[in-house]
Amino acid sequence: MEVVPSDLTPKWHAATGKLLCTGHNVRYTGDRGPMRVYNRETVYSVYDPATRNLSSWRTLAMPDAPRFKNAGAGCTQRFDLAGGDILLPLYFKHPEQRQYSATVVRCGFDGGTLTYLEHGDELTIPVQEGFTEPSLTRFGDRFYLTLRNEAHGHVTSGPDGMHFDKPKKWRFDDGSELGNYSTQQHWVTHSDGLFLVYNRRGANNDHIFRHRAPLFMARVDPEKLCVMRATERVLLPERGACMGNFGVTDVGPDETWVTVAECADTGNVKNHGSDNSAFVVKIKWNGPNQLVK
Amino acid sequence: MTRKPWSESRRVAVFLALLAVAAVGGETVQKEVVFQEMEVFPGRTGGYDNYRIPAVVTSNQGTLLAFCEGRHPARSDSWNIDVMMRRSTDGGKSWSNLQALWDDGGNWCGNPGTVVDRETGTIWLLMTWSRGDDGEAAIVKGTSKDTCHVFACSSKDDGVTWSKPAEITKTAKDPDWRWYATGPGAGIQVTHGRHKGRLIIPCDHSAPHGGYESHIIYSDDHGGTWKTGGTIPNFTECEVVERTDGTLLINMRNFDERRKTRGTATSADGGETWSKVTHDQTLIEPNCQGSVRRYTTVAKDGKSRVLFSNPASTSQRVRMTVRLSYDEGRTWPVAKLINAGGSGYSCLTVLPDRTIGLLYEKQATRGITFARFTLDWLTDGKDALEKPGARAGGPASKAGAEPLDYTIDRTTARKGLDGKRCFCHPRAGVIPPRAPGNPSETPMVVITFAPHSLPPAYDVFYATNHMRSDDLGRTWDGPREHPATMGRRKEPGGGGGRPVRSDAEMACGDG
Repeated sequence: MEVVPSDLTPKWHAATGKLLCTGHNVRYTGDRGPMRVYNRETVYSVYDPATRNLSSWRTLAMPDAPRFKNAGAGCTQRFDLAGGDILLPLYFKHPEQRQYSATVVRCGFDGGTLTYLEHGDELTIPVQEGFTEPSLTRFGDRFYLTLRNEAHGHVTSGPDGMHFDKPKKWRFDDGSELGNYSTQQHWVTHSDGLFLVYNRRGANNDHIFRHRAPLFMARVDPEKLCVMRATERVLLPERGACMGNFGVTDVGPDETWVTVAECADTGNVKNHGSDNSAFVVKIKWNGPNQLVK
Repeated sequence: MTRKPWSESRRVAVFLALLAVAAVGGETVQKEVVFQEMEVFPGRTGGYDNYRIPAVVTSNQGTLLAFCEGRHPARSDSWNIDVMMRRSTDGGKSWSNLQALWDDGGNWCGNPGTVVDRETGTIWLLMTWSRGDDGEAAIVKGTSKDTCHVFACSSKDDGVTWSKPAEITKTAKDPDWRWYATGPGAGIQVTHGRHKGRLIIPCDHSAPHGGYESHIIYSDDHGGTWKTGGTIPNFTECEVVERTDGTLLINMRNFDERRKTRGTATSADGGETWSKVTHDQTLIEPNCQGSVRRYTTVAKDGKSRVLFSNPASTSQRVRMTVRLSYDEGRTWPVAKLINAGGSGYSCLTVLPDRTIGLLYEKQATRGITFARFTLDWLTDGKDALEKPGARAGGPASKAGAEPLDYTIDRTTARKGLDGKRCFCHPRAGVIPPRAPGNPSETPMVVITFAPHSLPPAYDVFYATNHMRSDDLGRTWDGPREHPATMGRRKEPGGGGGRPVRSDAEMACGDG
C-alpha cells in the first residue's frame, strides 16, 4: 500500500507568514489506480521560499468518528479569518454510505501544525456521490460555498462560513441550469463583484470528457445565487483536453490568476491541439480589488 | 520658470449657487448645480503684498487645508516670502484665520507641496528654503550665496498644529541640482499595486548643465524618509495622477516656452522611471503650472474621471479652465471656463461631498481664490455622480449592474507531454511583497502540480512538483519534484478497499 498527496491548493496564511498548501491524499497498490477510498486524510505542507522546498506532508487529525476516516480537502478554496483561524472546506463519507458530505472545518494553524477546532453544517444530497470539492469565499458580509455534484453543481450561502442555507443547483439568471456537473467550481472574489469559474455542457463541447472545457467565468448574483448569463466569458477555449482541475489566486489588487492544465489522460486529445499546457490566465481588473492587501 | 508678482489689484468676490430641476433620461430628478467662489488669500491683506503658489488638500476628516506663499513687496535683491495656511471645516464656506506656517525673516520659505497619508491621516507639507538675497536666477546660475534646501513638516491633528520643518535635502535633492521646487500643488498616495501606500510629491529643479527637469520625491515609510524618483528633462512644475492600472501619469509644464502643449509621461514603477514624453495637444498652456487630479474611479463610482486645471491659453495666463477626462487622462472631452481673466497657478481637490475644489491664482485680486463646483456644473448637466449607495460593492448591490470589468491575458507556464505523465492540478499561492521570505517588491507565485499517470491507469498520482515565478509569470523556475517530502509513502495495509475499476468510481476520488 502506498499513499501520496494530491489535489493541493497553496495559499498565503498572513497570520503566520506561511504559504500553506492544503489538499488530501490517495492510496494505491502499485500503479493500479487509487483504492476505492474509505481511508483518506486532509494533507498539508508549508512551502519554504528560501530552500524552494515543501515540508514533509502531514495530515489533519479529525474527530474520531467513522465518517471522518475518509475526509479530505482536495481541490477546495479555503478562507482565512482575520485572527488567523482557517475555514477549510472538505468532504467526507461514511464507509457504508454512497454520498459524500461537505463541511467547513475551522482550523487553527501555528505555522507548523494544522489543528481541527470545530466543523459546521454537514451538507449532502441524495444524488450520486453527494457533495464534494467545496470552495468557500466571503463577499460583503456573507459566505458563499460552491459544491461539486456528479449531476449538478450546487451553491449555498451563510452568515459565518460554517452554517449554510439549503444548497441549490447552479442556474443562470434566466432560470436554466448552468450545466456544470462532475467537476469543481471556484470563486473569483473582487471587492466589487463575485464571480464563478466553471465548466459546463452546452458549449459545443460534447467531445470533451465531462464537458471540462472550455473554462468559463461569469458574474454571480449574490442575492439570487445564480450566474449572470450575459457576463459569461471564456477564460480558456478548449483544445480537446479537459480543464476541470484548476485554482484561483489573487496575485495583487489588480490581478487575479486562474491556473489550469490540459489534462491529457483521456481520449485522443492531441488531435485538437492540446499538449498538457499549464495555463496562467491573468484576470486584470479595471479597478483595484480592495480585498487584496 | 519665471514667477512674477501680480501687476494689478482688484478684488472680486463671486458667489453663485443654483438649484435646478432637470430631466435626465426621461426621469425627472432634482439636480444641484453649484458654483461658488471665495477669496481665501486676497492680495494686500494680512501684511503681505500678494499671495501666490496655491496648494490645497482635503484631509481624512474632510477639512480643506489651503497653503500658499505670502509675499512681501519684492525688491530686486530680496525675496521675503512665507508659507501661509488657512483651514476650512465646512467645505470652503468659511476659513480659519491666516496663519504663517513658516516665516524665516527675510528668507524665502515657499513652494508648498502637500499630500495626505490616507493610511495614517497625517498631512505632509513639503517646502523649500533659500536665502532672501538669492534670487532664482542666481541659484540657477550657481552664483548665489547658498542654494535651495528641501524641508518637510507634518500635522497629525488635521492641520491644527504642525511639526517644525525638518530638512530632507540630503535624500530629496541631488547635489548637482540647484534651483528646486517642491510641488507646487498636491501629491498623491499610491492606492494599489506593489507601491501601495507610497507618498509622492511632484517637484522640479534646475539641471546642472542648463534647463529644468521635472522629478518626483517619494516616501515608502509614511513620510519618515524621502527619496528622489525619476527625472524628466525639459519640463518643470508637474503633478501626478494614478491610473486605475496602477501606472502613474505625470503632467508637466514645459521648460521650453515655445512649446505650448503640456508634456505627459507614465511610470510603471511608482515614479522611479518615466516613459518617453508625449505632448497632449488638447492641454494648451501659456507656460504655467497646472493641476491634475483623480476624481472618480470605475470601481467606486462607476466611471473613471480625471480632472485637469490650468490657464487654457497659448499666449497669456488667462482663462482658468477645468477639464475632465473619462479615459484616464488620454482625452479631455469636457472643458469649463472658471475665470476668463488673469489666472495662474492652481490646485485641484475633491471634497467629501464629491464637489470639486479649485484653489487658483486670480490676477484680479493679486491673491488666491477657492472655487467649488459640482460635476453637474462642470459638464453642463451632461454628467452626474451616481447616488450614494447605488453601487455598494457587497451582496446588497444588484449584480450585473456594476461596471467592474477585466481583461484576460492568457499565458503558458509550461507545456509538453512526455508520454508517461500528465501535469495536472496546477494551483498557485502567493507570498506577498515584503512578506516573510519575499523581501522583493513583487509577489512570489508558487504553483503546485500533481503529475499523474496516462491511460490506462486512472488517477495514479506521483510526488508533488512546484514551479515558481518571482517576476509575475514572465519566467518560471521548475517544475521541481519533491519526492522526499511530497512523494509516496508505504503503508502496511490500513487503507483497505480495492482499486478503482470504473469511471464512476473515480468520479469523486481525485478531482
